[in-house]
Amino acid sequence: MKKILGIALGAVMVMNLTACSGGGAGAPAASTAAQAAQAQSGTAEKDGGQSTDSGYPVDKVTLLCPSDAGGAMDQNCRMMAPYLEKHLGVPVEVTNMGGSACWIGWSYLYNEAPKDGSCISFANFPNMITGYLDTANTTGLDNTSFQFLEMLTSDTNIIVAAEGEDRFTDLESLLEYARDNVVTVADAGARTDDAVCVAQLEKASGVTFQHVHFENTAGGMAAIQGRQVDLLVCNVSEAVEPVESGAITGIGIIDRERSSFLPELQCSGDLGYEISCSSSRGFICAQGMDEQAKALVCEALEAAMNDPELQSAAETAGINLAPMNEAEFTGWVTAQNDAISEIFGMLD
Amino acid sequence: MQAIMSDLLSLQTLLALVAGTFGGLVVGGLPGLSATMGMSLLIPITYTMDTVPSMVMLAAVYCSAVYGGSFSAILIHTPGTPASAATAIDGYQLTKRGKGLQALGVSTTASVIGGVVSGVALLLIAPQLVKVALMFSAPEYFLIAVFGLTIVGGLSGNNLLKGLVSAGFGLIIGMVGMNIFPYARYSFGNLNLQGGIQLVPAMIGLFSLPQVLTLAESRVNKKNREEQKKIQESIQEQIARAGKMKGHFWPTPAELKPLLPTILKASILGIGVGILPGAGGDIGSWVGYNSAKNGSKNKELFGKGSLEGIAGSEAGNNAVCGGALIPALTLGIPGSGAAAVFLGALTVQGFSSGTNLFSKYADMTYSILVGFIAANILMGIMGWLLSRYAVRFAALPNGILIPVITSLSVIGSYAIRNNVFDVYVMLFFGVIGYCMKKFDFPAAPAVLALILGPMAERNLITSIQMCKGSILVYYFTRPICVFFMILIVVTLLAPVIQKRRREAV
Repeated sequence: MKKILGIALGAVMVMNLTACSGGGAGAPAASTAAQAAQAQSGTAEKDGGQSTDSGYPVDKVTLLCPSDAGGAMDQNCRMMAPYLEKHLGVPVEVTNMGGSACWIGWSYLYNEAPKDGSCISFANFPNMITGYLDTANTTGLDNTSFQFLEMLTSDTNIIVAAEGEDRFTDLESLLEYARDNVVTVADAGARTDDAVCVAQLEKASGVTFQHVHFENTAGGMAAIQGRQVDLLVCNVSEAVEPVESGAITGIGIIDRERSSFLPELQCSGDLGYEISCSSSRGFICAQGMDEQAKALVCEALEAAMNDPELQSAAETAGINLAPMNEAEFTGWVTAQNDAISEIFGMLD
Repeated sequence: MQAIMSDLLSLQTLLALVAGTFGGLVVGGLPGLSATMGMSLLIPITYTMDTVPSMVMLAAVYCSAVYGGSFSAILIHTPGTPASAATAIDGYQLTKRGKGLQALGVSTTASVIGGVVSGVALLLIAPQLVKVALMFSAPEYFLIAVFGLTIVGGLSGNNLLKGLVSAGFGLIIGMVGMNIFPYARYSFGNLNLQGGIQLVPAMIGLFSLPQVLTLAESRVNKKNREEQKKIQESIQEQIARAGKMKGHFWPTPAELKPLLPTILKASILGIGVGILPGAGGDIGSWVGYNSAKNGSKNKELFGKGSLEGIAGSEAGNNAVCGGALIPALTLGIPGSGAAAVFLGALTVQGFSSGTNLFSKYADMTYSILVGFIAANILMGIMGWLLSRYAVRFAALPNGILIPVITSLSVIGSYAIRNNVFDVYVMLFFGVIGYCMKKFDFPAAPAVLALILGPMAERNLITSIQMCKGSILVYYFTRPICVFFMILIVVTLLAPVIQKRRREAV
């Protein structure tokens, strides 16, 4: 009996270990990919360590995903990790550190993580900007605390209504209707890209909406399908399928140009409004990270974004790649920062 | 259909099913380890697994732990989980009279039937409920949460006041952090607290750690050595007796026939109890037991070894499992603590409950539901094979139990977000839970309030944002809202009216 129990105890411990390494599920396969890449380029010399092979100053990179495992950000990170690894030449491990709308992870990145190039992070916008603009944010961080390396994806905001909506059919008639009537608009939370989008539209057009904050887009999508609210603001990737199947009605895109996914929908640019709203995600590092490492990571990220394998993986996963290099990304963050600062008080 | 079969018959799913069922039996048979706890400790392991196998494994642990509790209840008079407390009364009487094996057979048959009936109900009701789920929005969710909170009385055991105190504690904890507006409350400037108290570490702390601490109390020392020795000897004796049990396991058709109506009635009641938010297997078993007693021709046998009592209790508690998953998968409202863990694991896998589960991801969902039914059948077969040995698990030495549970608790709390803070949360709630246990405060109302409090607040504010005018008119013009308001009033007033009537007589 004792023996069996001993074995059982051992099995439990092994299970614990697998659970602990759960964060790096992709790691074993990914590291073989890196070795394969090295073998191909013929640099896998006998005693040269990985750092000298790749020219990267550290042996391993942690890609910090500041949200929980299983979410969209996590999926993005795990999609990118093997390609970053391939082009950087050192193993890349995704680690989840969720909590407090990503600020636990970003605060760790700035305050605690080593700056030698061994830790970079993923970030989502405009959530990061609305997060640090909030006076209740105790981290003391803002856009000057980070460097913006490469944008991965961008998902434009769209306004949709219930199936068979006849009070308005496009953006223009919606704004006309909303001038005289109370219109409820569901978003996925008070500080999300959806809420920012409504506020920007309100500021540009002078029309006000009744904001209804749901916990996530799924809650708002159920509300619009059940006609509990008049409108829902979400992202194009979430709306394409239900709009095409007729479950909901597309009203308009909040961008300077029409969307290639739903080209028949009016965009705010058609009405002359200079606003562009999206949920965007990209890779960042802390201010003060080793310059040589940063340059190599930027180079590898750019190469990964041009990798046809990544492009086809993104297409399969329905992710709209929106590459932006360091300079473009940094400029974009500054512009977003200015635009959102103006409407921050309108978010609640 | 083909997709469902291929999902279910994959190696990983089959292994998960077998491991989950066996693990559930062990967890259930161990006094003090509940289904909820076994499942919450498994969550970190599901991170690396695919969705169908991980959810099937959790479902299997859930139902077989609830069933497994009957082994120790019948054979050594110690309910393995709270859900088997009613079974222990009559089951042990039968064991003393040498009919233990027969009692186990009836408990197995009743559990399997209860579980399978609830699984079928889940398959049939959930897709229908999801169709009207679109009629449920913030006002309805607010009232459901309030209704769930009125059930606290049922979870409080003997002392309603202690139950209310526990629920109040849960409500306060639920206010920590941000709700609908991003202004953190009670965070004291701590970044970790701004996001609120994580449910899983709090649950592990409240349910597992107090058990460990209580076990650690019973360490053998000079004073109680004789006493401990006696307890050990009596357990050994009971185990020896269980190994030599005679008789047949499965009830013959003639024996089963009179029990069948009891089993079916208890199953349907159990499903109803399962659907109610917060009410779990412990209540299901008592409801099943009472219905068996009320409908029985041999009421005098209850308490002295009634097979009907076992059948009612065990069908009732296993029917709760499927019932509790119905609102969890359709509306996102867990019907029991274990269903809350199930829902949490589903979220970790990247799925949210609701329409999508039954349309876009229907293949996956139905695979999980069919897996749940399969687990209910498999647990009966395993129970039959293990019936003579399973009781040994009840005698696992504390020297093994304590370190295993403790390490699983710490690792489980840490692995959710790779955050040490969550381990501190678990330890904090562990100490609170231990004090609650010592002073006889029930932990379940606190967990229920921790889930339902923030849900009520969020949906009340959302419904105010949605109402376009008078909030009262908005609520009273929604039929489902009116239904729930009546239900809440009835639940609150029923005990008062009953008391009056009793006094009048």
